[in-house]
Amino acid sequence: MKSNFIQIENVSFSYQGGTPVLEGLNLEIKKNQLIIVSGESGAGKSSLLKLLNRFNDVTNGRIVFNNKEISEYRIDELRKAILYLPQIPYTVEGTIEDNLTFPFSFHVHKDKKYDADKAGEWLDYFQLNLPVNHDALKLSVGQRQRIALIRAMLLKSEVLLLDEPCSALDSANRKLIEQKIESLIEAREITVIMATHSKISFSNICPQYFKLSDRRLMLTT
Amino acid sequence: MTEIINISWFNVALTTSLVIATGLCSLYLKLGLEKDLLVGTIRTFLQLVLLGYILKIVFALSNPWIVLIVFLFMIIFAARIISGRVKEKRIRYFFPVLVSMFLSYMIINIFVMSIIVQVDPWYKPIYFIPIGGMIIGNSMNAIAIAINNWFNGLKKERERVELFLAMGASPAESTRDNFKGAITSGMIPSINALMSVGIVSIPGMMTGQILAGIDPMIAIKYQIIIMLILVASTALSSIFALHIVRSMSFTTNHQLKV
Repeated sequence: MKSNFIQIENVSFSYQGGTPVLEGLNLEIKKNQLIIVSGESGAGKSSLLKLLNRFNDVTNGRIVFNNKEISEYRIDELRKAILYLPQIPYTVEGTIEDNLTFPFSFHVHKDKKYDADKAGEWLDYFQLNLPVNHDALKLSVGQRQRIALIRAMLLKSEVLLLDEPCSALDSANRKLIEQKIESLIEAREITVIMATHSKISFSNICPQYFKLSDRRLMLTT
Repeated sequence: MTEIINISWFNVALTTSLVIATGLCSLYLKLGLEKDLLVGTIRTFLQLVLLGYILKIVFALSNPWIVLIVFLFMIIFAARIISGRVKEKRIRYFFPVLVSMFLSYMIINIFVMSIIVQVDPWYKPIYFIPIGGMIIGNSMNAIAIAINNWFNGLKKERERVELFLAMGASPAESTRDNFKGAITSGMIPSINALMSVGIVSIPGMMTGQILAGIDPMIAIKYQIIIMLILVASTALSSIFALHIVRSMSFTTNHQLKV
């Protein structure tokens, strides 16, 4: 039997000295799968995602990624593989290209080179028909969110943690981003764990739906 | 050498009339400075008279250990002032900052004493204590400004710093601009002083030496040395201190603590 890509085993989490936010979580994730975690705001969706890239550390239990416990990875290597995208996309001052290239200057990404052709392909894929020297601060939130996704694709992360990526977007942008993620999953390009507070349905793929409530994770349909 | 005029204690006390006038202005304009002016004036009298006595004893004993203890005491006091001025209280940087101040000031002070001024012995208190005091006083402000701006910047740019961390950047890579901004903001007064000295201001040390009857050309050499020492010690101690504060602002797993 093929082992799980990510395995969350009996995980609990609380902020330092606080009451538990998450308790007894179990989740098995296969490669190139889409996991949707829904729940009210404050239910702990962000806290859960941040356990996977170690912005938070589990209080109990363990998380295994690629047959190795995440605490055994070098922190920068872990975050290179498992990329967290915040709810509100942050744009650095400069052009669209500046926003795509800056992570390549980080030590952990030194083995990769920014590929302008590939960036062009991803810009087309996410329907951003703007020149790369366009001022990034003039982009709408929806466009910024797409830039963040393109950056993630260029960095070739293995897992994307999307923290309510569509909550600040209008319906057209939301639909577009959902479709593009659906196609990426269909093409077996990436594994995605997405937190959302609204219901999302897909026509071509069957994601696994979970609901976070009362600190616990439940499988839903 | 010209005769030095010894100011009488009565005349020193008479100077307080200027502060009283300032206090009256404050009352009239409702500036609320009266209490601070009063406390500040009393402290100035007490602290400086006490310093005068201590210096007399320290100068007379000329013992390296006593010189170092006085120097360390001055640095502890400066570090306390810094931690009082910095608003962020969750990170316990007092002791590491104290150590970084002590080390950088010792390196510079010993270099100046033994190589530049060639004082024999290197700890001769009439040189070591006043020059050390100027170094501490100057860089204390720079360190306080740098640390304060560091935490403010970190809070203001939390989203960006976390985005960089999430992409695998190290704490240093995530905060390169914050670090640079914090250090330069602390350094600006020292650099401005380098630019304006002799034109806009005649610095205190030189004024003191001239008043004491020393040839202005000798006073100038001392002043040049002092200006350069101040910039170097300010830079060295604030870079050193901020490095420590930066590493204390993150966990070993590159999580932001503030």
